Amino acid sequence: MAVSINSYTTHSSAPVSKPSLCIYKPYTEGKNFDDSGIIVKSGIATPFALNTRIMDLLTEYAALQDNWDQDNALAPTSEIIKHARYLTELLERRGQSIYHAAPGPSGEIMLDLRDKTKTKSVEIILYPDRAVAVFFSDMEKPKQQEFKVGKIAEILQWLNK
Amino acid sequence: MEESRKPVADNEYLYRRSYLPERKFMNPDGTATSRVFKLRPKDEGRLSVNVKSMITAEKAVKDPSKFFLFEISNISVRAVGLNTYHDPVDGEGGPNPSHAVIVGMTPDDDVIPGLLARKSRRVQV
Repeated sequence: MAVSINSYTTHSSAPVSKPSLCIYKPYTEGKNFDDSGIIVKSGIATPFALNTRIMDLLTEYAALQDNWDQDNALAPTSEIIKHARYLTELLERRGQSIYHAAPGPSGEIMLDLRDKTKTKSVEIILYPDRAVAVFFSDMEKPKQQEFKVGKIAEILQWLNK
Repeated sequence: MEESRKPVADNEYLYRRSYLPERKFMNPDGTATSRVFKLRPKDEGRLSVNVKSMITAEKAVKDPSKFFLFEISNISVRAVGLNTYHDPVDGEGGPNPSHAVIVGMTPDDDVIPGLLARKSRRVQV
């Protein structure tokens, strides 16, 4: 049996071995996160098994105000938070846990991905006017490039190979 | 302008203070994120630090209920192509001869803040 989630989310069909009633609230592009809930029969305890903490952090960062660091840092915009949530869900779907998420002084949100051996990491940084991916490795020179969602598979392949 | 300032010796350690409303703003292991070392426009290319040998951790952190302190060796800073100069200032709390600036980063650079964060460690105050 499969649970069909609407096609506007990043989630695809998921097998259910032990169905039980739960409230499932997938993130839906262009809609309010809290209003997108649907109820399905599912054995999934939480839609963000890997990145629950990150989604909670993003919710907290969404409430930040300008000067949140008492040094004139800009608060992340709702658009940046939306993109960060979208990426978090995309990474969750691909089985990639996010090590940490942090706000920055220019209103950016940084998502830090690390490999299991802790020899490589990738920071995806979402700025109000651009997005970058920064690659760190014990074996290679660090590099920075423009980030596009379409590069996720390539980034994860580099991180986890 | 920086050429006229006195360079900080390679064997010094530097304190970088960061306001973090909650511990969770740090990495889960308590280390600094790259955002702690990220330049902001008002920095004008000069990242503020304090020279460890010239100030106590307690004085450098000012308010431990609001701020966290990280330290990094100046040799690590120099190793990524940056320079550190003494920059004594007269702050709100009086003269601060330990103040110094790290120069050489650009606002668009996200590699170096990540490298500095990875070479820093938290100072318990």
